[in-house]
Amino acid sequence: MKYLQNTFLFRAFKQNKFIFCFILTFIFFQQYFYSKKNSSFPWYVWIMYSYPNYEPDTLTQLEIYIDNKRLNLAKIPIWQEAVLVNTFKKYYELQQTNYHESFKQLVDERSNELKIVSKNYIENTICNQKEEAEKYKNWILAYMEKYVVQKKIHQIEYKEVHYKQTQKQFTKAGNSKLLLTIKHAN
Amino acid sequence: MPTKTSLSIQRYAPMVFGLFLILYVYRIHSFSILYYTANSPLKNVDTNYTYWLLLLLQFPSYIIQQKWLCTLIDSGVFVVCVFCIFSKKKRYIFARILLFLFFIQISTLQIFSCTHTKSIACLMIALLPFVCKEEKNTVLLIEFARYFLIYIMVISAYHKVVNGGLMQTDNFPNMLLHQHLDLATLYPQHISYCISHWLIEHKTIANGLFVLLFCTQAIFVIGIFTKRYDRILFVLLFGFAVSTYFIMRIYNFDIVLLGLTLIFFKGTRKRQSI
Repeated sequence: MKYLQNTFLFRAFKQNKFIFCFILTFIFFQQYFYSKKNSSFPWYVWIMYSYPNYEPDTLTQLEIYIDNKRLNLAKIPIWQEAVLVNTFKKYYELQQTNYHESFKQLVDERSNELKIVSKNYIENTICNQKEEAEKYKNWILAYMEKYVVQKKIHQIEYKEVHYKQTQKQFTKAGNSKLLLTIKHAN
Repeated sequence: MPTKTSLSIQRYAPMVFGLFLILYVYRIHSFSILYYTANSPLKNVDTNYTYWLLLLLQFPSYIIQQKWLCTLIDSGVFVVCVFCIFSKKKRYIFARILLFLFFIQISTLQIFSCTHTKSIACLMIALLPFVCKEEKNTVLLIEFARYFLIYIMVISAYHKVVNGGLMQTDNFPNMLLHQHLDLATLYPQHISYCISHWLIEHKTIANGLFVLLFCTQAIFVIGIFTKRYDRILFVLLFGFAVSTYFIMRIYNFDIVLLGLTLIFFKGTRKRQSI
């Protein structure tokens, strides 16, 4: 009994019921999202870098070319690199699926459960729409001009490039695939 | 007359908010604030239900379209954090404002930069104790934050075992190959690649380092039973954050902020468990 009284949760219960309920709720959601392998901020499943990695025959890389010169992503801050790469990946995914979000079905299922809000409202608010995706090219061009190279850009190209490791050197394997070209309007 | 607890909090709070401010300045320098992401047209929420709810309330979509509001929130976080460092009596009020502003800022940023950083949760939990007016409640939440840190580290170690990453031969050298392809092809003189390249060539040492990384995380399990070794755990945590930054180019300093909870409690022989 003395051991139990000394536990953190017991002390929290004795000290402040509100904080105790808050902690229990937090633990409940943490466990719920963990069991669902779902990451809903601020609850996360900490499983990064836990799966086996095998020595690959080829490695694929996304490369960004600004006016035909490859952008050195290692020389820009990691968050800026994440913005350039991740927003593009989202845009490309939408473009390839004809602007159909991969989780749209889940949104539909969940919105059916919520009768109080209209299904269209939920879908339009959570999922990207074609009109929003169409603004992306101009936005990323302006972003790169302002915050990445600080000069006018005529053309941006996103390419998928395959590399092969031979004798501890990486060499391009096959042709690179051009995924997106953005040209300045003027 | 100030109590022993209040003195501890008065010393601890400026450390937490000071480090938060340093990390925030680094974020500004790294373009990770709303100002730079303003007007971003694409959102990415995947199956993050918190972000679903926020989008349904419309305010992240509104904020991102208003550059002045983005600037106001970004500067608000900075200014309120400075107040949190220096204000002793009203700190709990500023901490509440800071937590609210930071939550709005980071949620909007993560949704519209299509980038979800897990360690942000650590910043939220590290700031949480200071929203309490009463000191004993602050201490209780600092202890909760400490247990949350232990959970993160232990669960991460646990998954390295159950998902097979730990048992896989040459897992770490292969991981480094994937992680640093851009450096290998474009910027091989980068310090991260120089270290990684050496490790890829010396696979035994790399494998040993991965086991060491696992042990560093797993050893946090001690923290569930005792606070005696908290300072050692803090040193390990700091080493973990620095080494992952230089070797893997992974930013883990948000966890260090949560790690400050390890130096709040003085060593005790008392057996305490969750």
